[in-house]
Amino acid sequence: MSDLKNHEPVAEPASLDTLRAGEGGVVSGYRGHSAVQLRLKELGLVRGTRVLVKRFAPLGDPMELVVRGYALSIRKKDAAQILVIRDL
Amino acid sequence: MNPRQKTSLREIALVGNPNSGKTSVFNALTGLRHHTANYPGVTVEKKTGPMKLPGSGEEILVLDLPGTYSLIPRSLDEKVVHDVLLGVQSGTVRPSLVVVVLDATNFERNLYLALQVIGTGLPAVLVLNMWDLAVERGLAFDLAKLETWTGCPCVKTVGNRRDGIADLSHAIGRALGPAGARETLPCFFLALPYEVESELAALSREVETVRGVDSSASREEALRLLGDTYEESAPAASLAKEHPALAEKIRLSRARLQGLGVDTSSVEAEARYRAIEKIWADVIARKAAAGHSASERLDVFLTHPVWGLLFFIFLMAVIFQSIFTWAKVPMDWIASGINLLAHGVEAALPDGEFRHLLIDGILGGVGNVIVFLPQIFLLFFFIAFFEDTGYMARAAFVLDRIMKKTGLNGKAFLPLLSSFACAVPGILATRTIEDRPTRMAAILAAPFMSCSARLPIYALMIGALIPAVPVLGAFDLKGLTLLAMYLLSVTSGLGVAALFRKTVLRGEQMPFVFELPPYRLPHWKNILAVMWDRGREFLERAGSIIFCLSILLWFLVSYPRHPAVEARYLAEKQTARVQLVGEVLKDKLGELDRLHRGEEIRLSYAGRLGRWIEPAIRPLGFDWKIGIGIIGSFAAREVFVSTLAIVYNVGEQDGPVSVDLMKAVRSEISPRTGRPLYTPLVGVSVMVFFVLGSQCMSTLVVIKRETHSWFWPLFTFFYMTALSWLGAFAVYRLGTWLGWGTA
Repeated sequence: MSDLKNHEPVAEPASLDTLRAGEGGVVSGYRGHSAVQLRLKELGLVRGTRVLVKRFAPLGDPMELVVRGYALSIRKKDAAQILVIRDL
Repeated sequence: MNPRQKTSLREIALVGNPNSGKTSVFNALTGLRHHTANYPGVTVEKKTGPMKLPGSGEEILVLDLPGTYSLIPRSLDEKVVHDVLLGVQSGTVRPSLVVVVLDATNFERNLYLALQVIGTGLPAVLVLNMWDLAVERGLAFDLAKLETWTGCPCVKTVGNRRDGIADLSHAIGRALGPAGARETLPCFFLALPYEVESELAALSREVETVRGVDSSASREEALRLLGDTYEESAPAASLAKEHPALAEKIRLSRARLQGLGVDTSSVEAEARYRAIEKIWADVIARKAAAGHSASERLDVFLTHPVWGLLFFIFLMAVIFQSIFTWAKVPMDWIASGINLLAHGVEAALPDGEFRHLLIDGILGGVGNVIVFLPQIFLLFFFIAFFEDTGYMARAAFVLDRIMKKTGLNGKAFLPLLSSFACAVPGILATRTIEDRPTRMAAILAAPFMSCSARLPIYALMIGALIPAVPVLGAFDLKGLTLLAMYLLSVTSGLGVAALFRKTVLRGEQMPFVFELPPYRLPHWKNILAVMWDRGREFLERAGSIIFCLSILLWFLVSYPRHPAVEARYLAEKQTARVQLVGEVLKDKLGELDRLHRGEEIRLSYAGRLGRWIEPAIRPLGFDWKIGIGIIGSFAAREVFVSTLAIVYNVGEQDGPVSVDLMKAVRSEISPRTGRPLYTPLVGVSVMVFFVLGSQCMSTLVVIKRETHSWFWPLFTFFYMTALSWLGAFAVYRLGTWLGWGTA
């Protein structure tokens, strides 16, 4: 029993731009305060939303996300403001 | 339509997300009879079109509002949508009905705006557009359930095929009909956390009285003000200024809510998406099949680090080639057509001022306008094709990294590339850039891109003045000079864009996000409609001004007439005819003609203007004859070359730059120094002047047309002229100082 507790998985929020292509997660919060976040929330990236990182552009930026059934291109700088719990 | 009639028409508004196919629905409802104007005081285009209601036959006005994701107004476009729907936009009545166009394949996000619109209290009709694509993807909706949830009639359409448009017209007619005649469902009501609701109860009445907002809209307007934690939207900013008491109350509400652990900046989006998830789960009868394998496979290739970039470069090469070279063919047809007409007129009418006006003024002016059409058609064919197939978003995705450095974004690449052929279609193409400050920066950068009309100037100056010295074995100085001019044009254009983005066009702190829609086959009718529309718009809105300015320029280089000069040359020709025969006579007559035209232009208003501006351009190494060329070049830059040819009494020659003109340029002696006027340094100075300058009235007119204000073209003209003067001055002075000018 105590053994199990020690191995309780821990889900640390990571910023969305640190995910690799093909990785997914759930939006858990936001980093810092900025008006940019408001637009991202309106586009569906509210807490509890599943996102999948589809790919990065050939030159590394921007990145393609799949949110609520559609594909969205977003710059890494903006994605860095979104925190996600990576799929375990 | 007279204005009195216009005011009596009922108005409905069309709103929707960008790329929801709103424009195709608008076109299907109104036909192509739309009318564009401006909202008073702002540079946002107001597009309206009439439609007849089925049954009653009543004519109503459809207002196509700019595409937006949300009613929280941060950009000018969004502010217009917000203000119109709330009835606070000056010069526009609050619409009687809102038609919300939703992309059925992207239902959740599109419903966000739809629910906000319903929250304004206006009667609404929801249109599930792109229904065919939704079906293709295996989606099935229960529209009756959606109607119950939203309280609005829901219609499915395929806008670009006009499917379902008749149903939509009927739904609009019913919704606008007498209240008793339609069944009314309770409207969707956004459920909010209890704490937020109790703050809103107090705020919304105050918002209603203070902001002049309709009572039905005030609750959600108060929610928007509460949620705008950073107070950077237009209403929040104006509220802080005009109604500080209310702004303070909202700040207190916000503080209380934040104390209670409510994230005020997320409250609206979270509540709405919770509701959307519930509606979605209930309304959706069948979900999309996972993955669109064909589109997926295509994307793996088209956004591939190597193949994706190579394919992109290949496509751009094709576009560039087409507007640079292929468009020349129809442009030549247009030129010969105009020529043919001119000959016809010449044969039909007696010599005189009227014939002169008709041939050189009017026909020349018409030619100056329609010569742009092949390039515009070709470019917009490609743009519409890429937009329609979904490739455009991929191009922006691939290119964004490069363009970001200049403060522009991936969508600015194609317009700027097109500007290397001609800035006119390039500037028209900036419409694909949604973010307004970015688009403005792209418009301002476009005229710097070295267009094809500058080539004859480079060809003349380099051909006549730059020696063919080999450089590093494989290259020679002529080629490198040409390269340098292109590099200067790119760096100055992008530099200017970056500078403007950091200063006056700083932007609204909007993240650069865009959708990557699944690929699909193009609708050819749609593509042709876009080409036709752009071409027609150009003719209507820019054509008339370009035409008038062409005639003005023609007048400047042709008048005043000098009967004495004319009589002298007539007499000389008579003498020649008596004394000479055959080839010799022909040569002599030709020479006299050239001398005559040269003398006329030197004495014309343009000649006087050239002399008048000479003090201003002398520091650049130019004389008044170049001044005439610069004035003439406003018709189109390449006219600089033909104007110089006339000034130097050299015959015009079809094809590239005439050898005689090069000789004439080389042998021109400066009256002040007694040495050749044109040194290689002056040649470079002239080229730099043309790289940085805005000698092109068509570009300026198109900037006016696209920005809806005379400010931007005038601004462009003055700062680019200043920049070109400084650039040429720096080159000439520095070169002289280094001792290059005496070569």
